[in-house]
Amino acid sequence: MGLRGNRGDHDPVLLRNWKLTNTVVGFTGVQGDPLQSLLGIFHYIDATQSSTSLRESFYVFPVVEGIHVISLAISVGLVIWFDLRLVGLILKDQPVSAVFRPIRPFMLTGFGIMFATGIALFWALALRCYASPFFWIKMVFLLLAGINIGIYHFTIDRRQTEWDSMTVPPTRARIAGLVSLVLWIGVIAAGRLMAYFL
Amino acid sequence: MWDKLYPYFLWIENTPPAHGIRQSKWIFSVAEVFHLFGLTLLLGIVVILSLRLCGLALQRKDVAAITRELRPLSIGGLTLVLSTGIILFISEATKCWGNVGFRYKMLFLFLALLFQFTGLQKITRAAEGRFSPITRKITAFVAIFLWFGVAIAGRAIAFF
Repeated sequence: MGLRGNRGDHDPVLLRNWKLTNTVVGFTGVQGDPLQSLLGIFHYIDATQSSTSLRESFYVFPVVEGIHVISLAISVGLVIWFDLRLVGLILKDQPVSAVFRPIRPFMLTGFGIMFATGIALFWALALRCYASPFFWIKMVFLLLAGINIGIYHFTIDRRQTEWDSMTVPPTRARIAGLVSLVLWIGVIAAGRLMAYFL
Repeated sequence: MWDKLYPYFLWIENTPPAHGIRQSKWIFSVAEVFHLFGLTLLLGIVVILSLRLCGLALQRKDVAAITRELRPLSIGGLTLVLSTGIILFISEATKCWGNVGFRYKMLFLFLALLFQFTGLQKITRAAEGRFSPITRKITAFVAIFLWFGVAIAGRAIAFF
């Protein structure tokens, strides 16, 4: 199916997206309907004015990307210490809450910056994200990390006062810490590879 | 001075390992991944130590004791960033030579390492109470400034 008669004929961005989806994703139908498919939604985002300006901006995009990468230090860089304490590897003489509570505001700020800049980057490159296997791997890892936090929070964390001062926390807490470490390593790896192969 | 270094950068780029890295589809990207692991670990340590020096976290444990406990991880993080950084550098040495981000990164890296093994080491190994809170706070800010400077200039390499 050709591009003749399509809106994309006169719009370089739409035309590029057309070629991209046709070659990379193998999508050969008409442009996706936002209400009917995921690809349609990604198409819609990619064609918005805000997405285009962000994608083509000379300064804003690199700055947003820079903030996204360097905020690793205060998001994952801080969650590591809590995870390692949960596993029972470091700061064993300190209660778990004494490690977690003071770093929580900084960590949450870090993750807030990560999500905000991450969404902006996705918004600018929605179609390329759709075509990147690493993007989907990253999303799966993020989802699993969220589920892990949820399970921890609603189960073993409820009885934290009972094991707060244990040098080595109960197995379920240790597993939550280990799973979190592994998943964040996966998120970083998939994210970096995604940017490299975009 | 910098101009005179060009032949060396060119020589590095033409060594067999540099050729090997360029020919492989994966070495460079995997080195980037591990460079980022190292950054997370190293900057994470700088942040947590700075929070402690400012009296914002882990107050019940001595700075010296925390530093001692985190040492294997900080040495690990430093080894990781330096070794993967060398892999990334040798494969595109002449590009780095002409890159303003790279020059700033090397400047910040030199200052950060210098500070790490002089001022910071002195403060973090000292007994509690030997240095005033204000001295410890300034130390924390300098460490944050220098190490984040390395990271920001490093990120800038990609855009010049």
